Amino acid sequence: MKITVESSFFHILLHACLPILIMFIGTSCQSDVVDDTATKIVGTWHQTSLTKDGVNAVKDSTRLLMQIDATNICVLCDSSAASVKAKTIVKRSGWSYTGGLFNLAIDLPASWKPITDANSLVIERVDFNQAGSISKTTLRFERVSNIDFK
Amino acid sequence: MKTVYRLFILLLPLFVLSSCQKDAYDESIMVGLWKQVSVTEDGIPISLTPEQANCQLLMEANGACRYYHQSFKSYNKGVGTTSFYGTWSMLDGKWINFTTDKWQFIPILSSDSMKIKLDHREIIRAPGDTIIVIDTLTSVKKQWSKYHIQSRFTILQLSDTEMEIRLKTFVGEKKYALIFAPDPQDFVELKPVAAGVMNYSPKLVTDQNYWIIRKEFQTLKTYIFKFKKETY
Repeated sequence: MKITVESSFFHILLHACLPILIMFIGTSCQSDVVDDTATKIVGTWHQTSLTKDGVNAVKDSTRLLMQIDATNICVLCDSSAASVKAKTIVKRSGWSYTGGLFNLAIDLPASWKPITDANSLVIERVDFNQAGSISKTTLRFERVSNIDFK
Repeated sequence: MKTVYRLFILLLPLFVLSSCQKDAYDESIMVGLWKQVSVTEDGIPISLTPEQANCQLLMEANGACRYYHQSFKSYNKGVGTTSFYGTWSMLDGKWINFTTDKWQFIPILSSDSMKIKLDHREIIRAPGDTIIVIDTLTSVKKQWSKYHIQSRFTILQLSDTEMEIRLKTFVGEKKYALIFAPDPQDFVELKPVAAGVMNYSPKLVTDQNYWIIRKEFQTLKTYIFKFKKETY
């Protein structure tokens, strides 16, 4: 077979491009979805409603106000009778966002599924009830101005 | 030579594309609510009590796992604990690790007679009428030590609807643990205990059952748990 300039160039090109081609196809298997929920939930939130299995219920007095800050600290304003009496209204906890779930240290092992936009935050958790059925609790919040806790 | 190169170029994408296919299970399929369907011990189905049959696992994407069973429901006047928790993680898409509560078998034997040491207490039935009984609460607390440990299961089957996992372990390791719903007859209610304190423990160890339980911790068996996915 006669080796021409053209065929030599083809061979060089082929060998040079092969690793690049493999890298391209290999990396194309990875997905590039960015979830910015952790940034969106940062802020101060006022509880507006609570529903249990879709039915309106009395608001959760342990977190009428919730301040989630960027350093993974969460401050809850607990207005329950016991906390008011004990003067422990301000409760601090840690938080994280993993696997699409909002984890509040004081609620673990239960975690919350958050849905948020600029001014509203909806968090939903599921728990087993005594009979073994799944019960859903949904808390709705609206964004309010930040508060300085001492 | 040219033909060989052309063939190579044609086959290359096939090679590379096939490398994208997974030979391991996808972790995201694990997330959800699973209801226990069956348990086998060395291939023989275990007959589950009604309390065990109702067992469910709620596996969440953050690695937390919550269990439901009714093994201790009859405790505390019928409102005993039914919800338990631990963690889960998948390893190399082939194994699944669960952390659950387990109890270590640590009964004390008398050095001279190799008899189980039990605590006793006096009960005054009437003035001058006193009986001595075994203090079960104090005794079992000294015989069993609760800890939290990881068990690694092999995934035999995992799909959107079914999960089958296998664990090779000692009979006692499975029996006196929350993998996943224990048999109520292997546990006792602890009372009186303060509210919020765990009120269940493996049964009292006596001279009659000591060697049976000890043997259980030396007998290896293979357990296969089957679950089906539930919607919620």
